[in-house]
Amino acid sequence: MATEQTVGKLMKNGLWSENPVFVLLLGMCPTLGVTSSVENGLGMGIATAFVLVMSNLVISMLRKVIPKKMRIPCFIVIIASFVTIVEMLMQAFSPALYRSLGLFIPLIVVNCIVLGRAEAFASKNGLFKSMVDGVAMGAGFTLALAAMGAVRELLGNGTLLNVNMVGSSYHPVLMMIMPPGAFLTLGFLLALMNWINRKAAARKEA
Amino acid sequence: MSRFQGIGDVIVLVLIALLSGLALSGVYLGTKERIALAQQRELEAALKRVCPFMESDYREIEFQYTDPSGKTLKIPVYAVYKEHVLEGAALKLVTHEGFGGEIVFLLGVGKDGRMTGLYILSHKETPGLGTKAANRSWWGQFVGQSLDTMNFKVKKDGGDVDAITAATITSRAVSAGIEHGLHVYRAFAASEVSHGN
Amino acid sequence: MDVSTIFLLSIYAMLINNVVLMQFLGICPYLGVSRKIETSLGMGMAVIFVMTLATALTWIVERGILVPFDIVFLRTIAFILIIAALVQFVEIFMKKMMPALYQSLGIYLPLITTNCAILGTAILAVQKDYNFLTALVFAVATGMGFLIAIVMFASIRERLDTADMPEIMKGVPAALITASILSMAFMGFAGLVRM
Repeated sequence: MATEQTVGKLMKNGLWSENPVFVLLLGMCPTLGVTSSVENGLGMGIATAFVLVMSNLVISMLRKVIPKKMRIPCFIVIIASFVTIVEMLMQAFSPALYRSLGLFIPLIVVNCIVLGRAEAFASKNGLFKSMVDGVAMGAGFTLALAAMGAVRELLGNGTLLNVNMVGSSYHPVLMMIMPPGAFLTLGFLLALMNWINRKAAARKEA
Repeated sequence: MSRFQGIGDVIVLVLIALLSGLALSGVYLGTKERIALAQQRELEAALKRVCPFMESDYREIEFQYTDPSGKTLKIPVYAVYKEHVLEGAALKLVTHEGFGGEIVFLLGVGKDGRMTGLYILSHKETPGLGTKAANRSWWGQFVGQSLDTMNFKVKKDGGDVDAITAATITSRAVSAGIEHGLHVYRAFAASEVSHGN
Repeated sequence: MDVSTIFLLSIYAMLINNVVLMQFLGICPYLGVSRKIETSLGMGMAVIFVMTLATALTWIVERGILVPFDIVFLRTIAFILIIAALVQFVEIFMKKMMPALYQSLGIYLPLITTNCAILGTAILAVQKDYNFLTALVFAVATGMGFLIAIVMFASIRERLDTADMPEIMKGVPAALITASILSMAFMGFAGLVRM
Protein backbone atom coordinates (compact mmCIF):
# COMPACT_ATOMS: atom_id res chain seq x y z
CA MET A 1 0.00 0.00 0.00
CA ALA A 2 2.64 2.48 1.03
CA THR A 3 4.85 1.48 -1.91
CA GLU A 4 2.01 1.99 -4.39
CA GLN A 5 1.37 5.46 -3.10
CA THR A 6 5.03 6.31 -3.41
CA VAL A 7 5.25 4.89 -6.92
CA GLY A 8 2.22 6.88 -7.98
CA LYS A 9 3.61 10.01 -6.43
CA LEU A 10 6.98 9.54 -8.05
CA MET A 11 5.40 9.00 -11.45
CA LYS A 12 3.23 12.09 -11.14
CA ASN A 13 6.30 14.00 -10.06
CA GLY A 14 8.38 13.04 -13.03
CA LEU A 15 5.59 13.44 -15.53
CA TRP A 16 4.11 16.72 -14.37
CA SER A 17 4.79 18.50 -11.10
CA GLU A 18 8.56 18.19 -11.40
CA ASN A 19 8.78 17.56 -15.12
CA PRO A 20 12.49 17.77 -15.84
CA VAL A 21 12.09 20.01 -18.88
CA PHE A 22 9.07 22.16 -18.25
CA VAL A 23 9.46 22.64 -14.51
CA LEU A 24 13.05 21.93 -13.53
CA LEU A 25 14.32 23.46 -16.79
CA LEU A 26 16.94 20.76 -17.22
CA GLY A 27 18.04 19.00 -20.38
CA MET A 28 17.31 21.98 -22.59
CA CYS A 29 19.91 21.22 -25.23
CA PRO A 30 18.39 17.99 -26.59
CA THR A 31 14.89 19.41 -26.08
CA LEU A 32 15.71 22.12 -28.58
CA GLY A 33 18.14 20.20 -30.71
CA VAL A 34 16.41 16.95 -31.66
CA THR A 35 12.74 17.82 -31.67
CA SER A 36 12.25 18.71 -35.32
CA SER A 37 10.18 15.55 -35.56
CA VAL A 38 8.22 13.37 -33.15
CA GLU A 39 10.29 10.35 -34.11
CA ASN A 40 13.57 12.01 -33.15
CA GLY A 41 12.09 13.33 -29.91
CA LEU A 42 10.81 9.91 -28.94
CA GLY A 43 14.08 8.23 -29.87
CA MET A 44 16.12 10.63 -27.79
CA GLY A 45 13.67 10.46 -24.90
CA ILE A 46 13.78 6.69 -24.74
CA ALA A 47 17.56 6.60 -25.04
CA THR A 48 17.91 9.11 -22.21
CA ALA A 49 15.34 7.25 -20.13
CA PHE A 50 17.36 4.07 -20.52
CA VAL A 51 20.51 5.79 -19.32
CA LEU A 52 18.59 7.43 -16.48
CA VAL A 53 17.05 4.19 -15.21
CA MET A 54 20.23 2.13 -15.50
CA SER A 55 22.51 4.72 -13.95
CA ASN A 56 20.02 5.38 -11.15
CA LEU A 57 19.94 1.62 -10.49
CA VAL A 58 23.68 1.15 -10.42
CA ILE A 59 24.36 4.29 -8.42
CA SER A 60 21.72 3.35 -5.91
CA MET A 61 23.22 -0.14 -5.68
CA LEU A 62 26.65 1.31 -5.02
CA ARG A 63 25.55 4.26 -2.92
CA LYS A 64 27.10 2.92 0.27
CA VAL A 65 30.37 2.20 -1.50
CA ILE A 66 30.87 5.37 -3.51
CA PRO A 67 33.00 7.80 -1.51
CA LYS A 68 31.48 11.22 -0.89
CA LYS A 69 34.44 13.21 -2.13
CA MET A 70 34.82 11.20 -5.32
CA ARG A 71 31.15 10.86 -6.04
CA ILE A 72 30.89 13.12 -9.07
CA PRO A 73 33.66 11.36 -11.03
CA CYS A 74 32.16 7.99 -10.08
CA PHE A 75 28.71 9.08 -11.23
CA ILE A 76 30.24 10.35 -14.46
CA VAL A 77 31.99 7.06 -15.19
CA ILE A 78 28.82 5.08 -14.58
CA ILE A 79 26.61 7.42 -16.59
CA ALA A 80 29.11 7.69 -19.44
CA SER A 81 29.30 3.90 -19.65
CA PHE A 82 25.57 3.55 -20.12
CA VAL A 83 25.57 6.39 -22.66
CA THR A 84 28.25 4.55 -24.63
CA ILE A 85 26.22 1.34 -24.42
CA VAL A 86 23.17 3.18 -25.77
CA GLU A 87 25.35 4.65 -28.54
CA MET A 88 26.54 1.21 -29.61
CA LEU A 89 23.12 -0.42 -29.37
CA MET A 90 21.55 2.34 -31.41
CA GLN A 91 24.26 2.17 -34.05
CA ALA A 92 23.69 -1.56 -34.34
CA PHE A 93 19.92 -1.73 -34.27
CA SER A 94 18.70 1.65 -35.49
CA PRO A 95 21.35 3.32 -37.65
CA ALA A 96 18.96 5.81 -39.22
CA LEU A 97 17.91 7.15 -35.80
CA TYR A 98 21.57 7.14 -34.75
CA ARG A 99 22.40 9.43 -37.65
CA SER A 100 19.42 11.75 -37.01
CA LEU A 101 20.28 12.24 -33.35
CA GLY A 102 23.97 12.57 -34.13
CA LEU A 103 26.02 14.55 -31.66
CA PHE A 104 23.25 14.61 -29.05
CA ILE A 105 23.64 10.93 -28.18
CA PRO A 106 27.02 11.23 -26.49
CA LEU A 107 25.79 14.52 -25.02
CA ILE A 108 23.31 12.53 -22.89
CA VAL A 109 26.22 12.20 -20.50
CA VAL A 110 26.08 15.92 -19.70
CA ASN A 111 22.32 16.04 -19.63
CA CYS A 112 21.75 17.74 -16.29
CA ILE A 113 18.76 15.50 -15.65
CA VAL A 114 20.85 12.35 -15.42
CA LEU A 115 23.57 13.76 -13.18
CA GLY A 116 20.98 15.73 -11.25
CA ARG A 117 18.85 12.71 -10.38
CA ALA A 118 21.93 10.67 -9.52
CA GLU A 119 22.97 13.31 -7.02
CA ALA A 120 19.56 14.27 -5.70
CA PHE A 121 17.87 10.88 -5.57
CA ALA A 122 19.71 7.73 -6.50
CA SER A 123 22.60 8.30 -4.17
CA LYS A 124 20.22 8.63 -1.27
CA ASN A 125 17.46 6.13 -1.94
CA GLY A 126 16.88 2.43 -2.32
CA LEU A 127 17.02 0.41 -5.51
CA PHE A 128 13.32 0.21 -6.29
CA LYS A 129 12.58 3.87 -5.60
CA SER A 130 15.57 4.99 -7.63
CA MET A 131 14.46 2.86 -10.53
CA VAL A 132 10.93 4.25 -10.39
CA ASP A 133 12.30 7.78 -10.20
CA GLY A 134 14.38 7.04 -13.27
CA VAL A 135 11.35 5.73 -15.12
CA ALA A 136 9.24 8.71 -14.03
CA MET A 137 11.78 11.35 -14.98
CA GLY A 138 12.57 9.51 -18.20
CA ALA A 139 8.88 9.38 -19.05
CA GLY A 140 8.47 13.06 -18.25
CA PHE A 141 11.44 13.91 -20.45
CA THR A 142 10.15 11.76 -23.31
CA LEU A 143 6.73 13.36 -22.97
CA ALA A 144 8.23 16.83 -23.17
CA LEU A 145 10.32 15.92 -26.21
CA ALA A 146 7.35 14.30 -27.94
CA ALA A 147 5.22 17.39 -27.29
CA MET A 148 7.90 19.65 -28.73
CA GLY A 149 8.37 17.31 -31.66
CA ALA A 150 4.65 17.16 -32.35
CA VAL A 151 4.20 20.93 -32.48
CA ARG A 152 7.29 21.50 -34.60
CA GLU A 153 6.69 18.65 -37.01
CA LEU A 154 3.01 19.42 -37.48
CA LEU A 155 3.48 23.13 -38.09
CA GLY A 156 6.81 22.89 -39.88
CA ASN A 157 6.23 19.83 -42.05
CA GLY A 158 2.53 19.09 -41.94
CA THR A 159 3.18 15.60 -40.68
CA LEU A 160 3.17 13.64 -37.44
CA LEU A 161 5.47 10.63 -37.30
CA ASN A 162 5.91 11.15 -41.05
CA VAL A 163 2.21 10.69 -41.67
CA ASN A 164 0.72 13.60 -43.55
CA MET A 165 -1.87 15.32 -41.40
CA VAL A 166 -2.80 18.32 -43.47
CA GLY A 167 -4.07 18.98 -46.94
CA SER A 168 -1.89 20.04 -49.81
CA SER A 169 -3.04 23.62 -49.47
CA TYR A 170 -1.13 23.95 -46.19
CA HIS A 171 2.18 25.67 -46.61
CA PRO A 172 4.44 24.38 -43.86
CA VAL A 173 6.00 27.02 -41.64
CA LEU A 174 9.58 25.96 -42.36
CA MET A 175 10.93 28.05 -39.55
CA MET A 176 9.42 25.64 -37.06
CA ILE A 177 11.83 22.86 -37.95
CA MET A 178 14.76 25.23 -37.83
CA PRO A 179 16.48 26.67 -34.75
CA PRO A 180 14.24 29.73 -34.19
CA GLY A 181 11.21 27.46 -34.23
CA ALA A 182 12.67 25.35 -31.46
CA PHE A 183 13.13 28.30 -29.10
CA LEU A 184 9.72 29.64 -29.99
CA THR A 185 7.92 26.35 -29.36
CA LEU A 186 9.58 25.79 -26.02
CA GLY A 187 8.85 29.37 -24.96
CA PHE A 188 5.16 28.99 -25.74
CA LEU A 189 4.91 25.53 -24.20
CA LEU A 190 6.41 26.88 -20.98
CA ALA A 191 4.00 29.80 -21.03
CA LEU A 192 1.20 27.27 -21.51
CA MET A 193 2.37 25.32 -18.47
CA ASN A 194 2.45 28.53 -16.45
CA TRP A 195 -1.10 29.26 -17.54
CA ILE A 196 -2.32 25.77 -16.61
CA ASN A 197 -0.64 25.94 -13.22
CA ARG A 198 -2.12 29.33 -12.50
CA LYS A 199 -5.59 28.13 -13.35
CA ALA A 200 -5.13 25.11 -11.09
CA ALA A 201 -3.86 27.28 -8.23
CA ALA A 202 -6.75 29.72 -8.67
CA ARG A 203 -9.22 26.84 -8.61
CA LYS A 204 -7.68 25.50 -5.41
CA GLU A 205 -8.09 28.84 -3.71
CA ALA A 206 -11.68 29.22 -4.87
CA MET B 1 43.74 8.47 8.53
CA SER B 2 42.62 11.05 5.96
CA ARG B 3 45.37 10.02 3.54
CA PHE B 4 44.24 6.39 3.63
CA GLN B 5 40.70 7.62 3.10
CA GLY B 6 41.88 9.53 0.03
CA ILE B 7 43.61 6.50 -1.46
CA GLY B 8 40.61 4.32 -0.67
CA ASP B 9 38.41 6.76 -2.56
CA VAL B 10 40.65 6.66 -5.61
CA ILE B 11 40.72 2.85 -5.51
CA VAL B 12 36.93 2.72 -5.58
CA LEU B 13 36.91 5.08 -8.55
CA VAL B 14 39.49 2.99 -10.39
CA LEU B 15 37.55 -0.21 -9.68
CA ILE B 16 34.34 1.31 -11.00
CA ALA B 17 36.22 2.56 -14.06
CA LEU B 18 37.68 -0.90 -14.68
CA LEU B 19 34.31 -2.59 -14.36
CA SER B 20 32.78 -0.07 -16.73
CA GLY B 21 35.61 -0.56 -19.18
CA LEU B 22 35.00 -4.32 -19.12
CA ALA B 23 31.26 -3.94 -19.60
CA LEU B 24 31.81 -1.54 -22.48
CA SER B 25 34.34 -3.78 -24.19
CA GLY B 26 31.83 -6.60 -23.92
CA VAL B 27 29.03 -4.62 -25.53
CA TYR B 28 31.48 -3.30 -28.13
CA LEU B 29 32.55 -6.78 -29.18
CA GLY B 30 28.97 -7.93 -29.17
CA THR B 31 27.71 -5.15 -31.40
CA LYS B 32 30.76 -4.61 -33.61
CA GLU B 33 29.75 -7.04 -36.28
CA ARG B 34 26.16 -5.96 -36.28
CA ILE B 35 27.15 -2.34 -36.71
CA ALA B 36 29.47 -3.16 -39.60
CA LEU B 37 26.73 -5.23 -41.19
CA ALA B 38 24.17 -2.43 -40.80
CA GLN B 39 26.55 0.07 -42.39
CA GLN B 40 27.27 -2.32 -45.23
CA ARG B 41 23.58 -2.91 -45.82
CA GLU B 42 22.89 0.83 -45.88
CA LEU B 43 25.65 1.42 -48.41
CA GLU B 44 24.38 -1.35 -50.64
CA ALA B 45 20.83 -0.04 -50.45
CA ALA B 46 22.06 3.40 -51.52
CA LEU B 47 24.16 1.91 -54.33
CA LYS B 48 21.21 -0.05 -55.66
CA ARG B 49 19.10 3.09 -55.64
CA VAL B 50 21.50 5.01 -57.85
CA CYS B 51 22.46 2.02 -59.99
CA PRO B 52 19.24 0.13 -60.65
CA PHE B 53 21.14 -2.04 -63.11
CA MET B 54 23.23 -3.44 -60.28
CA GLU B 55 22.23 -7.09 -60.01
CA SER B 56 25.13 -8.68 -58.26
CA ASP B 57 28.37 -7.71 -56.64
CA TYR B 58 30.20 -4.51 -57.22
CA ARG B 59 33.88 -3.77 -56.96
CA GLU B 60 35.06 -0.94 -54.78
CA ILE B 61 37.93 0.94 -56.37
CA GLU B 62 39.71 4.11 -55.34
CA PHE B 63 40.13 5.98 -58.56
CA GLN B 64 42.77 8.68 -58.95
CA TYR B 65 41.23 11.42 -61.04
CA THR B 66 43.10 14.46 -62.29
CA ASP B 67 40.76 17.30 -63.09
CA PRO B 68 41.38 19.87 -65.84
CA SER B 69 43.00 22.25 -63.37
CA GLY B 70 45.59 19.60 -62.53
CA LYS B 71 44.33 18.69 -59.08
CA THR B 72 44.30 14.98 -58.30
CA LEU B 73 41.35 13.57 -56.36
CA LYS B 74 40.84 10.14 -54.89
CA ILE B 75 37.31 9.15 -55.71
CA PRO B 76 35.61 5.98 -54.39
CA VAL B 77 34.08 4.16 -57.34
CA TYR B 78 31.71 1.24 -56.89
CA ALA B 79 31.96 -0.43 -60.29
CA VAL B 80 29.46 -2.94 -61.60
CA TYR B 81 30.55 -5.62 -64.05
CA LYS B 82 28.52 -8.05 -66.09
CA GLU B 83 30.67 -10.88 -67.41
CA HIS B 84 33.81 -8.78 -66.97
CA VAL B 85 32.38 -5.86 -68.91
CA LEU B 86 31.89 -2.55 -67.16
CA GLU B 87 28.15 -1.90 -66.90
CA GLY B 88 28.35 1.29 -64.92
CA ALA B 89 29.29 2.57 -61.50
CA ALA B 90 28.33 4.62 -58.51
CA LEU B 91 30.71 7.37 -57.55
CA LYS B 92 30.95 9.02 -54.17
CA LEU B 93 31.49 12.71 -54.81
CA VAL B 94 31.82 15.88 -52.81
CA THR B 95 31.04 19.46 -53.73
CA HIS B 96 31.78 22.44 -51.54
CA GLU B 97 29.62 24.80 -53.57
CA GLY B 98 26.41 24.14 -51.68
CA PHE B 99 24.59 26.95 -49.92
CA GLY B 100 25.60 25.56 -46.56
CA GLY B 101 28.86 24.19 -47.81
CA GLU B 102 29.68 20.55 -48.30
CA ILE B 103 27.34 18.15 -50.08
CA VAL B 104 28.35 14.49 -50.29
CA PHE B 105 26.42 12.37 -52.78
CA LEU B 106 26.38 9.13 -54.72
CA LEU B 107 26.06 9.46 -58.48
CA GLY B 108 24.96 6.48 -60.52
CA VAL B 109 26.24 6.26 -64.09
CA GLY B 110 25.31 3.57 -66.55
CA LYS B 111 26.33 2.50 -70.02
CA ASP B 112 27.31 5.27 -72.41
CA GLY B 113 27.96 7.53 -69.48
CA ARG B 114 24.29 8.18 -68.84
CA MET B 115 23.20 9.29 -65.39
CA THR B 116 21.06 6.71 -63.60
CA GLY B 117 20.52 8.05 -60.12
CA LEU B 118 21.41 10.44 -57.32
CA TYR B 119 21.52 9.88 -53.59
CA ILE B 120 22.53 12.65 -51.23
CA LEU B 121 24.53 11.31 -48.30
CA SER B 122 25.09 14.48 -46.33
CA HIS B 123 24.45 18.17 -46.76
CA LYS B 124 23.84 21.42 -44.93
CA GLU B 125 21.23 22.89 -47.24
CA THR B 126 18.13 24.73 -46.14
CA PRO B 127 15.34 22.39 -45.07
CA GLY B 128 12.39 22.57 -47.44
CA LEU B 129 14.37 24.40 -50.10
CA GLY B 130 17.82 23.06 -50.87
CA THR B 131 16.84 19.68 -49.44
CA LYS B 132 14.52 19.24 -52.43
CA ALA B 133 17.66 18.37 -54.39
CA ALA B 134 17.43 14.89 -52.87
CA ASN B 135 14.01 14.25 -54.39
CA ARG B 136 13.68 12.33 -57.60
CA SER B 137 11.06 14.85 -58.63
CA TRP B 138 13.94 17.28 -59.11
CA TRP B 139 16.98 15.20 -60.10
CA GLY B 140 14.86 13.01 -62.34
CA GLN B 141 15.55 15.55 -65.06
CA PHE B 142 19.14 14.29 -65.20
CA VAL B 143 18.29 10.60 -65.59
CA GLY B 144 19.33 9.23 -68.96
CA GLN B 145 21.35 12.34 -69.74
CA SER B 146 25.03 12.32 -70.44
CA LEU B 147 27.78 14.87 -71.03
CA ASP B 148 26.82 14.98 -74.72
CA THR B 149 23.09 15.38 -74.35
CA MET B 150 22.70 18.06 -71.71
CA ASN B 151 24.08 21.41 -70.70
CA PHE B 152 24.50 21.13 -66.93
CA LYS B 153 24.07 24.79 -66.12
CA VAL B 154 20.78 26.08 -64.70
CA LYS B 155 18.44 27.78 -67.16
CA LYS B 156 19.25 31.13 -65.56
CA ASP B 157 22.85 30.63 -66.62
CA GLY B 158 21.93 29.52 -70.13
CA GLY B 159 21.78 25.79 -69.55
CA ASP B 160 19.13 23.08 -69.53
CA VAL B 161 18.67 22.51 -65.81
CA ASP B 162 15.43 23.46 -64.08
CA ALA B 163 16.62 24.98 -60.82
CA ILE B 164 14.74 24.51 -57.55
CA THR B 165 12.69 27.61 -56.84
CA ALA B 166 14.46 29.77 -54.25
CA ALA B 167 17.37 27.32 -54.11
CA THR B 168 19.47 28.34 -57.07
CA ILE B 169 22.79 27.96 -55.31
CA THR B 170 21.98 24.40 -54.27
CA SER B 171 20.77 23.61 -57.79
CA ARG B 172 23.96 25.00 -59.32
CA ALA B 173 26.13 23.06 -56.90
CA VAL B 174 24.44 19.72 -57.48
CA SER B 175 24.26 20.15 -61.27
CA ALA B 176 27.93 21.01 -61.41
CA GLY B 177 28.62 18.07 -59.15
CA ILE B 178 26.76 15.71 -61.46
CA GLU B 179 28.61 17.06 -64.49
CA HIS B 180 31.91 16.63 -62.69
CA GLY B 181 30.91 13.09 -61.75
CA LEU B 182 30.14 12.23 -65.35
CA HIS B 183 33.61 13.46 -66.33
CA VAL B 184 35.13 11.29 -63.64
CA TYR B 185 33.19 8.26 -64.87
CA ARG B 186 34.34 8.91 -68.42
CA ALA B 187 37.95 8.96 -67.25
CA PHE B 188 37.37 5.84 -65.16
CA ALA B 189 35.77 3.93 -68.02
CA ALA B 190 38.62 4.94 -70.29
CA SER B 191 41.18 3.73 -67.78
CA GLU B 192 39.34 0.41 -67.49
CA VAL B 193 39.53 -0.08 -71.24
CA SER B 194 43.22 0.76 -71.31
CA HIS B 195 43.80 -1.78 -68.53
CA GLY B 196 42.21 -4.39 -70.72
CA ASN B 197 39.04 -4.85 -68.72
CA MET C 1 46.97 26.15 -42.82
CA ASP C 2 46.74 29.56 -44.39
CA VAL C 3 45.44 32.67 -42.72
CA SER C 4 42.38 33.06 -44.91
CA THR C 5 41.13 29.56 -44.12
CA ILE C 6 41.65 30.19 -40.41
CA PHE C 7 39.74 33.44 -40.71
CA LEU C 8 36.89 31.83 -42.62
CA LEU C 9 36.67 28.93 -40.17
CA SER C 10 36.50 31.42 -37.31
CA ILE C 11 33.66 33.32 -38.91
CA TYR C 12 31.90 30.06 -39.60
CA ALA C 13 32.24 28.76 -36.05
CA MET C 14 31.46 32.10 -34.42
CA LEU C 15 28.52 33.36 -36.40
CA ILE C 16 27.18 31.10 -39.11
CA ASN C 17 27.13 27.94 -37.09
CA ASN C 18 26.82 29.66 -33.73
CA VAL C 19 27.17 27.13 -30.96
CA VAL C 20 24.12 28.25 -28.97
CA LEU C 21 21.72 29.72 -31.50
CA MET C 22 22.29 27.22 -34.30
CA GLN C 23 23.68 24.07 -32.70
CA PHE C 24 21.75 24.23 -29.41
CA LEU C 25 24.78 23.54 -27.26
CA GLY C 26 25.24 25.28 -23.94
CA ILE C 27 21.60 26.24 -23.46
CA CYS C 28 21.48 25.64 -19.69
CA PRO C 29 24.13 28.21 -18.82
CA TYR C 30 22.83 30.40 -21.62
CA LEU C 31 19.44 30.65 -19.97
CA GLY C 32 20.71 30.43 -16.43
CA VAL C 33 23.50 32.97 -16.36
CA SER C 34 22.32 35.57 -18.82
CA ARG C 35 20.31 37.84 -16.57
CA LYS C 36 23.09 40.37 -16.27
CA ILE C 37 25.72 41.46 -18.75
CA GLU C 38 28.55 41.20 -16.19
CA THR C 39 27.91 37.59 -15.30
CA SER C 40 27.44 36.74 -18.96
CA LEU C 41 30.78 38.24 -19.81
CA GLY C 42 32.38 36.21 -17.05
CA MET C 43 30.74 33.00 -18.14
CA GLY C 44 31.67 33.64 -21.77
CA MET C 45 35.34 34.16 -20.93
CA ALA C 46 35.38 31.06 -18.76
CA VAL C 47 33.84 29.06 -21.58
CA ILE C 48 36.43 30.22 -24.13
CA PHE C 49 39.20 29.32 -21.74
CA VAL C 50 37.94 25.87 -20.77
CA MET C 51 36.73 25.03 -24.27
CA THR C 52 40.13 25.68 -25.83
CA LEU C 53 42.02 23.72 -23.20
CA ALA C 54 39.51 20.89 -23.28
CA THR C 55 39.57 20.61 -27.06
CA ALA C 56 43.36 20.60 -27.04
CA LEU C 57 43.58 17.84 -24.43
CA THR C 58 40.84 15.66 -25.87
CA TRP C 59 42.34 15.99 -29.34
CA ILE C 60 45.65 14.73 -28.03
CA VAL C 61 43.98 11.81 -26.26
CA GLU C 62 41.96 10.90 -29.33
CA ARG C 63 44.90 10.92 -31.72
CA GLY C 64 47.45 9.66 -29.25
CA ILE C 65 45.56 6.94 -27.41
CA LEU C 66 42.06 6.17 -28.64
CA VAL C 67 42.83 5.81 -32.33
CA PRO C 68 46.16 3.95 -32.13
CA PHE C 69 44.71 1.44 -29.68
CA ASP C 70 41.43 1.15 -31.56
CA ILE C 71 39.34 2.04 -28.55
CA VAL C 72 37.44 4.94 -30.04
CA PHE C 73 34.26 3.57 -28.48
CA LEU C 74 35.64 4.82 -25.18
CA ARG C 75 35.62 8.37 -26.47
CA THR C 76 32.58 9.61 -24.54
CA ILE C 77 33.89 8.34 -21.21
CA ALA C 78 37.43 9.54 -21.82
CA PHE C 79 36.41 13.00 -22.96
CA ILE C 80 34.01 13.74 -20.14
CA LEU C 81 36.49 12.54 -17.53
CA ILE C 82 39.19 14.74 -19.05
CA ILE C 83 36.85 17.72 -19.00
CA ALA C 84 35.78 17.09 -15.40
CA ALA C 85 39.38 16.70 -14.29
CA LEU C 86 40.48 19.75 -16.30
CA VAL C 87 37.85 21.93 -14.67
CA GLN C 88 38.91 20.73 -11.22
CA PHE C 89 42.55 21.53 -11.89
CA VAL C 90 41.76 24.88 -13.44
CA GLU C 91 39.70 25.78 -10.39
CA ILE C 92 42.44 24.81 -7.96
CA PHE C 93 45.13 26.48 -10.05
CA MET C 94 43.14 29.65 -10.41
CA LYS C 95 42.32 29.79 -6.72
CA LYS C 96 45.99 29.61 -5.77
CA MET C 97 47.71 31.45 -8.60
CA MET C 98 45.22 33.99 -9.87
CA PRO C 99 42.89 34.86 -6.97
CA ALA C 100 41.62 38.01 -8.67
CA LEU C 101 40.59 36.08 -11.77
CA TYR C 102 39.11 33.36 -9.56
CA GLN C 103 36.90 35.93 -7.88
CA SER C 104 35.31 36.91 -11.17
CA LEU C 105 35.31 33.64 -13.13
CA GLY C 106 35.73 30.93 -10.54
CA ILE C 107 32.12 30.38 -9.65
CA TYR C 108 31.24 29.49 -13.23
CA LEU C 109 33.78 26.72 -13.49
CA PRO C 110 31.81 23.88 -11.84
CA LEU C 111 28.86 24.75 -14.04
CA ILE C 112 31.02 24.35 -17.09
CA THR C 113 31.63 20.63 -16.57
CA THR C 114 28.07 19.84 -17.59
CA ASN C 115 28.06 22.48 -20.29
CA CYS C 116 27.30 20.41 -23.37
CA ALA C 117 29.01 23.03 -25.50
CA ILE C 118 32.40 21.98 -24.14
CA LEU C 119 31.93 18.26 -24.72
CA GLY C 120 30.12 18.91 -27.99
CA THR C 121 32.89 21.06 -29.41
CA ALA C 122 35.56 18.59 -28.35
CA ILE C 123 33.73 15.75 -30.10
CA LEU C 124 33.08 17.83 -33.23
CA ALA C 125 36.75 18.78 -33.53
CA VAL C 126 37.81 15.13 -33.74
CA GLN C 127 34.81 14.06 -35.82
CA LYS C 128 35.69 16.63 -38.45
CA ASP C 129 39.25 15.35 -38.45
CA TYR C 130 40.83 18.74 -37.82
CA ASN C 131 44.54 18.96 -37.25
CA PHE C 132 45.69 20.35 -33.92
CA LEU C 133 45.96 23.99 -34.95
CA THR C 134 42.62 23.94 -36.74
CA ALA C 135 40.98 22.32 -33.73
CA LEU C 136 42.33 25.09 -31.49
CA VAL C 137 41.06 27.81 -33.82
CA PHE C 138 37.72 26.04 -33.98
CA ALA C 139 37.50 25.90 -30.19
CA VAL C 140 38.43 29.54 -29.65
CA ALA C 141 36.02 30.72 -32.33
CA THR C 142 33.21 28.56 -30.99
CA GLY C 143 33.81 29.92 -27.50
CA MET C 144 33.73 33.45 -28.84
CA GLY C 145 30.47 32.65 -30.57
CA PHE C 146 29.10 31.63 -27.19
CA LEU C 147 30.37 34.88 -25.67
CA ILE C 148 28.78 36.99 -28.38
CA ALA C 149 25.49 35.17 -28.13
CA ILE C 150 25.25 35.28 -24.34
CA VAL C 151 26.26 38.93 -23.96
CA MET C 152 23.81 39.97 -26.67
CA PHE C 153 21.15 37.94 -24.94
CA ALA C 154 21.91 39.43 -21.54
CA SER C 155 21.70 42.98 -22.78
CA ILE C 156 18.22 42.26 -24.08
CA ARG C 157 17.14 40.39 -20.98
CA GLU C 158 18.22 43.19 -18.69
CA ARG C 159 15.63 45.37 -20.40
CA LEU C 160 13.04 42.63 -20.62
CA ASP C 161 12.97 42.32 -16.85
CA THR C 162 11.41 45.75 -16.54
CA ALA C 163 9.12 45.40 -19.53
CA ASP C 164 5.39 44.99 -19.29
CA MET C 165 4.11 41.59 -20.38
CA PRO C 166 1.59 38.84 -19.52
CA GLU C 167 2.38 37.00 -16.28
CA ILE C 168 2.69 33.64 -17.94
CA MET C 169 5.37 34.95 -20.25
CA LYS C 170 7.60 36.41 -17.60
CA GLY C 171 11.00 34.90 -17.08
CA VAL C 172 12.07 31.94 -19.14
CA PRO C 173 9.29 31.95 -21.79
CA ALA C 174 10.09 35.54 -22.74
CA ALA C 175 13.78 34.70 -22.75
CA LEU C 176 13.18 31.81 -25.14
CA ILE C 177 11.15 33.94 -27.52
CA THR C 178 14.02 36.43 -27.47
CA ALA C 179 16.44 33.64 -28.25
CA SER C 180 14.19 32.64 -31.12
CA ILE C 181 14.48 36.09 -32.66
CA LEU C 182 18.23 36.20 -32.08
CA SER C 183 18.49 32.81 -33.75
CA MET C 184 16.56 34.14 -36.73
CA ALA C 185 18.94 37.06 -36.94
CA PHE C 186 21.93 34.74 -36.91
CA MET C 187 20.38 32.66 -39.65
CA GLY C 188 20.94 35.69 -41.83
CA PHE C 189 24.63 34.83 -41.80
CA ALA C 190 23.97 31.59 -43.65
CA GLY C 191 25.86 31.28 -46.88
CA LEU C 192 28.42 33.91 -45.89
CA VAL C 193 31.15 31.34 -45.71
CA ARG C 194 31.13 27.89 -47.26
CA MET C 195 32.67 25.18 -45.14
